[in-house]
Amino acid sequence: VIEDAEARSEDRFARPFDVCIVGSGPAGITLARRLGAKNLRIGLFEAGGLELTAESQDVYRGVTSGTPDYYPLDACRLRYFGGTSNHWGGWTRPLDAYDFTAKPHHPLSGWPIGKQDLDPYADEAADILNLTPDRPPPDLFIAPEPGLTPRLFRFSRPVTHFGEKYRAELEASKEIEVVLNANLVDLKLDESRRSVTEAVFRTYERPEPFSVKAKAFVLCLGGLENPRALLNADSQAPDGIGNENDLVGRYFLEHPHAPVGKVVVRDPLTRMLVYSPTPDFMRSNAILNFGVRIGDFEQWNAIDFTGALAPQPPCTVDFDTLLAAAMKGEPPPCPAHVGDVFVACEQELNPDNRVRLIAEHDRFGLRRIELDWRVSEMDLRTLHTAATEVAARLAARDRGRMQIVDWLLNGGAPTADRLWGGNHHMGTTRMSDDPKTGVVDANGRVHSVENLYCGGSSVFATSGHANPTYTIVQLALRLGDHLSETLR
Amino acid sequence: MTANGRQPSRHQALMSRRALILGAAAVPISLPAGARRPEQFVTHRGWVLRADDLDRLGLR
Repeated sequence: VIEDAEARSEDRFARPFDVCIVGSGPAGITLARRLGAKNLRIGLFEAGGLELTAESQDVYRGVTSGTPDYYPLDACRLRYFGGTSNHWGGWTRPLDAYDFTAKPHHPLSGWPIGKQDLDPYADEAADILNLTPDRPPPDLFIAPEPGLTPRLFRFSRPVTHFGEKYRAELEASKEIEVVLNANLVDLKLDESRRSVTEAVFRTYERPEPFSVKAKAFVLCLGGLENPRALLNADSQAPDGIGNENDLVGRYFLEHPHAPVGKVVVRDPLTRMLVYSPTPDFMRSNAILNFGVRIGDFEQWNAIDFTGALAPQPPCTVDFDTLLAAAMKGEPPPCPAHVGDVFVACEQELNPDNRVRLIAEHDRFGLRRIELDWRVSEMDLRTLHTAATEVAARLAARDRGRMQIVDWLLNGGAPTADRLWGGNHHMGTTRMSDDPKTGVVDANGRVHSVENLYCGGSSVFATSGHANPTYTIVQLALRLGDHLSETLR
Repeated sequence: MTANGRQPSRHQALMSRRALILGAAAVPISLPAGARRPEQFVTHRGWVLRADDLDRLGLR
């Protein structure tokens, strides 16, 4: 069922749930459906309603600092049923096996789980996300290029807006109770402070809070709100729940995105090309993972883009003429032979990239956040290496030529017009076997609390270069299996 | 060391090295990692080219 907390009866939530999930984005809805299918009784609490409202969205306001400037925090995510999937672009890739490993040149890197732990959920994640078919990635090099691997992005088409796709199913569900307009304001711990006894919510119109009991609680609020909820839950834990080691909110990760140049290529571009470094290349160059995307920037921003570029007429112009025209800044005689080059890369773990509470409060009395995001030397070196390696290899193999943007070639500042984030908020309750290096364990459980879990990209230990939603869904399915076993 | 006596950051140092390699002037650059043929490259207004491109295209 789907109901409105504003209209609740006084004893509406007297009966405990098996699992109380807070947040109805990709992680929350996926987890609820997984647990509901196991016949567990689930409460799925969403702070907004079925549609976007200004009063709900205002709760996301915050401040940003660092370089480059970040997006307004109430514009880069959505606070209503379906969460930020409501404006998701639909780009997906799994993390690579290498992404889960510890690298000597990247301190604290490495996950307590591996790709093999998420692979069993690949098919179900693809079904949930309406993914375009898996296929060999296109490659413009004739022979395998040492150090670079062609990669494929799969697209959610039509884009899975979780609220729209699963609304009817959830309305009909007997196991899952979706409660709208329920804003989490506190988590109550037992006397030992090792267990959550109830989650406290408020609505917009009724002043009195209401409490929900459950055997387990899962925060699926996104990479900025998960730490905010934990840090604000300070009535019994002065530094916030799970924050014994001052880690909650730290190690925020984004995917630095940058247009790095343009290319003229010998063979026409028919699909977006993506190249990533091999593990040996990353290790030997002490860089992070990246995805170089080659294609038409205007096309790949289209909502129906699936990787295929619009067909162009056959070209009868020779390569030197195409290249000379591009170098003179003239319009391309054959558009299929020119492309934009864009890089999205992994980000280095940095404890000072963080979400912290500020003095200003929202309408529910919870402190708002400041997001401090900046890029590191290793991040920039990764972007630079991505661009220069592809450019040099195109020339070396005579497959094309690339022009690299001046700031990247000559060491300019990474200002917001040159480099930006992908609205990917990760790492703020990172996963680790060691409570001194992570907030949650390999199952997503907050180390210091027996029945409190985090879902979503806040648990990412590192970011890889791939867009996070696919991994978020895999992790939610896995967490569902873990909780159903634990609670049985 | 930089002009103000401070040690350049690792990024600045790498950028300086890259600038020598792929700077604004047409300067021969080293091979990309894994390249098998001894090609030499030049840069021209950000374009990474083969050494003979500029003459062949009449752009020198």
